[in-house]
Amino acid sequence: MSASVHFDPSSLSRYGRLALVARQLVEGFLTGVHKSPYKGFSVEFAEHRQYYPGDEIRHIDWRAYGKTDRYYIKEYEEETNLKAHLLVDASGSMGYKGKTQSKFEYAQHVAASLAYLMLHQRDAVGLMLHDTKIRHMLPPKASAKHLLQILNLLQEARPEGETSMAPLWHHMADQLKRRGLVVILSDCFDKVGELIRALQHFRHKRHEVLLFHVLAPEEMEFPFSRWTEFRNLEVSGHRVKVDPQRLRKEYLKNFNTFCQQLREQAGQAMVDYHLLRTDQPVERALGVYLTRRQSRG
Amino acid sequence: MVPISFLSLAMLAGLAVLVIPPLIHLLNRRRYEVIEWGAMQFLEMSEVTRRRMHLEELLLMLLRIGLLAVLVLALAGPYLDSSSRLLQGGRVNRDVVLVFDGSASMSYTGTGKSAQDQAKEWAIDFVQKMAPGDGVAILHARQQAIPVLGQLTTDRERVIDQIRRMPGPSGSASWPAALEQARAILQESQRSEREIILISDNQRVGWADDRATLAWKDFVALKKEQAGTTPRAWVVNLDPQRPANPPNWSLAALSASRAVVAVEQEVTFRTAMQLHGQTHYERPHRLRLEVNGQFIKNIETPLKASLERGQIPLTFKYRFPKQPGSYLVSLILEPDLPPAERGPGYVIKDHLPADNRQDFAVEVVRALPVLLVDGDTTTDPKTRGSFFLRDALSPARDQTPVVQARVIPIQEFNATSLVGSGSEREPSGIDDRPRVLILSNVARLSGEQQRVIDRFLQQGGGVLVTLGERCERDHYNAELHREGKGWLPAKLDEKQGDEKKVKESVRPLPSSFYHPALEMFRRQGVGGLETAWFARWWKLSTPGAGSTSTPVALFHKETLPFLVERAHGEGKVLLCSVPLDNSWRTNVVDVPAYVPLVHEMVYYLASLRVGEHNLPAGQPLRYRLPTSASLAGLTLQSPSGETRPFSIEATDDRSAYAAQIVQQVQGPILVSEGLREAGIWKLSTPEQQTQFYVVQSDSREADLTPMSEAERKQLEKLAPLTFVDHPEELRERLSNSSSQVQLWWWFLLGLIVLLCSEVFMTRWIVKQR
Repeated sequence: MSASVHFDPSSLSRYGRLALVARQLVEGFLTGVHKSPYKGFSVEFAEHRQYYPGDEIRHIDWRAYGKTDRYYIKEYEEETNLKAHLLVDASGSMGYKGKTQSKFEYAQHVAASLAYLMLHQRDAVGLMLHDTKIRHMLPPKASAKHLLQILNLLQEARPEGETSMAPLWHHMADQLKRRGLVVILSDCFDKVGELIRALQHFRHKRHEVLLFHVLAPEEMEFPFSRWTEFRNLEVSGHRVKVDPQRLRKEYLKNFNTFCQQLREQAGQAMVDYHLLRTDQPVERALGVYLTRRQSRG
Repeated sequence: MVPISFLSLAMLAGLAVLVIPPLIHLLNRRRYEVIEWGAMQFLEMSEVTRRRMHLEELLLMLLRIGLLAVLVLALAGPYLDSSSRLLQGGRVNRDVVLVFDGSASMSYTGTGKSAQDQAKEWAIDFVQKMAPGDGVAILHARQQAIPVLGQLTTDRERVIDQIRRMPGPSGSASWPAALEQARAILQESQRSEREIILISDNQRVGWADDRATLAWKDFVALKKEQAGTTPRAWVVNLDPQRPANPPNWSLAALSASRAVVAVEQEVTFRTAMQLHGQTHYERPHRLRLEVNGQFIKNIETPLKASLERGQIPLTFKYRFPKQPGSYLVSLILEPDLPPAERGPGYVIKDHLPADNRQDFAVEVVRALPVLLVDGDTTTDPKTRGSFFLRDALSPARDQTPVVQARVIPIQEFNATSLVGSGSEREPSGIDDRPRVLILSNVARLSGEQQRVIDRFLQQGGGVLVTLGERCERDHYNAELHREGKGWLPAKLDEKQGDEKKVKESVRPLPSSFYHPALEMFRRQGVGGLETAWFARWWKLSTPGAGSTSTPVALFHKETLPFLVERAHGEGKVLLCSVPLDNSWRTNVVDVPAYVPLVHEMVYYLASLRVGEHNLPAGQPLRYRLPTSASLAGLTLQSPSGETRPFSIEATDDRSAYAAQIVQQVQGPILVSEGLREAGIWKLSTPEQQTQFYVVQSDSREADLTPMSEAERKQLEKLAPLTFVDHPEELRERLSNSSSQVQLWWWFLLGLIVLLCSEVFMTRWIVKQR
């Protein structure tokens, strides 16, 4: 019998809208999947120990009692078969909001949904919010309570500060002892080479890396026409006043080169790269995850 | 500097719109959106792109500013002002011929400075403002156009110097001739911009009077025959304030009873005071008589006179001194008091002093040389018919006869007879070459003799032919009359009358004496010429409708001709139908009028050369040289005081007068170029003798009536002229004339080019996005 995470709607509601959105998204998404995603899941047995009063009776190994006539408690190595780390970029640039929701909000939803889904599947989920440094970090756990903590952290977070992910990711790669799944939600507005090296670091530690590149459609299309002052979301006081029409070609060239380099080099580093536009439904990210999860077995 | 001017300078204020493109640019930059942006790293442009964008923006803005600038300039009516360049310098060069009015009316001072001075000032100012390299020539329009600067020159200093030194006005001006000469000067010019500027005073005389109108018509007819373009001719009025009919006194041409007189003889002169623009006569201050520049006396002027005909006739006499030579008689009218004697409020009667003087050159001889050719072949002079004529002309007892008569028989008459004694001139400078030839009852003339007389007449000699018994009718008619083609004035029909029938004789008819030589005998009782009778005479006839012969005195009977006159060449022949001696029965030699009659006729014939010394402008100068034909030491002084020698070689410079020596029957004669300037010319000989030449000024110049508008319009239709009322107006007209090159369409072209560039550039920039 595997451990399950219980989502009590009343308790979820205490954590606000994000939890509801996550649940709605995940369950809506799962309804459409015919084959049960829970099938074949198991927990890993670790050891027996002597029963002490206070332990749950359901954990007593009755077979062992029959053989030895003593109460043993069955203990498990982990309560899940997967450790997932959600790395959510909360730097200032993620706060860009065009006609759709902001990139960070989008990343919040994706992260919440993934956490929900992962916990639902009894996978352990950890969360790290960062800009240039780690703001919050929750080690992976598979309990329902943990979801609430994750959601709570996500809800409370505000995008701010500069982006400098590569050193941070290197740090994380060193920190994560056991191999697992690293899910990165970021706009990756940094130097491609350094980012790739950090990702390669994860891969070197035998982590699987799922890179969700979150971008706003305005950033990809640059549809502005009137004279505009672009104010840097990360560095206050840094502003550029330009005629967007004159700049568009140059901008798009720069931007597409960046995206292409990131995608190609990520592919080469065996990093699963996925572009997420904020005007696309969040479910797409869940689909990507499940496909990935299934292929992992 | 590009000499562009604009028709509407006010439109240039529209250049303020040039600030619009920069203003729009700045306003656009002020109105901008603010976006909180994350992907800042992609907004960073390369330096090359930034520079290119700046350059493109700058170019586009300059194009738009240029577009507006060219539009505004095109609307302001730009033109290339070549006339202003004429006045301000720095344009396509042009050639200008300035033609100054040299007529006497230009000395009118009624409006302050004389019109001539105003013309000079204006012209100097005009020349000073011309562009360097502009060519100028100057003509002085008189009876003939005098080239002051006959060729185009770019030396402005020289032009101005010549304008300053231009002589004062006198005589009249022939404008068609001046215009023709100006055109001839400009024909040498290769420049497209050519102007003729006629600087005048708008006087009707010379421009639009009958004579001038005829001359203009001739000019236009000539123009039609000539090819080529005619430069524009502007007529500028330098004295626009002159009243329509200003008060002016003048003297009519001076005439004398004799142009050749013997010493100590009295001559009667006639003239008239002409008053223009005045309603009543007021006695002038004085009328001075001068001879050879010396004051002689004041001529009495009438206290009162009627002004019905606008003129008051004057007559005075003057007796010449003992010294023979050329005398200049001058009459000078001074209507106004001298300036020092004028009281306050004095009204000046005459503002045009140039026409207040008249001159007349008189030749005073010791005795008039006359050659008497007698047809009588007898040797005793006293028995010859010519004795009476010779005695009448040079009485034997008169020590100082007024006529020096020499008698030769017909067989001795040849070409040398007319050269006189052949001696050098007598100290007085008057030669003894016969001025008058008398053929007295000559039977016939040899061919050589006929030719000598013909040449003598052609060259201004005077011949008196008296007919008598000896004259061979057929020879006279066939050889001398030749049906009107010869020099004999009349055909000899037949001898009439009978010496025995005195009662049937004929008598002269005084009432027919209108000839100048006979005028004094017209009145009954003077000399008793009407009492003379002739028992026998030649009946003369002047056949042919085109005959130039005129009977100038008649007999009572059947109006038979007594005297017949005819001009031949420059000379004249008087034919007398009676011998004027006692050969046929007559009392003529006994009547008191006989001697005056012969004298009058001889002096009349001798005065034919009056035109040699009193001549209209443009006529050649003639001077009868002594037998040694040399020009050495001869000089001629013009009215403006310039003295130059004569030269046989044609000279282009103005250092000498071109002259030629023509051999005539009476010896060599110097003929020089036309005397173009009205006034007194003085020819000086090496013997310190002076020969005066009076070039008559046109008395019509005294009439200052201006041209009417209708006359000007008519002239403008007739000739290529444009009248301008004011000197300043001329400058304006010159700058507004066809020399103005409109440039608006060039600007329009520029506008289109700029517009295309702007569209192209904008599209190109859009394409770059």
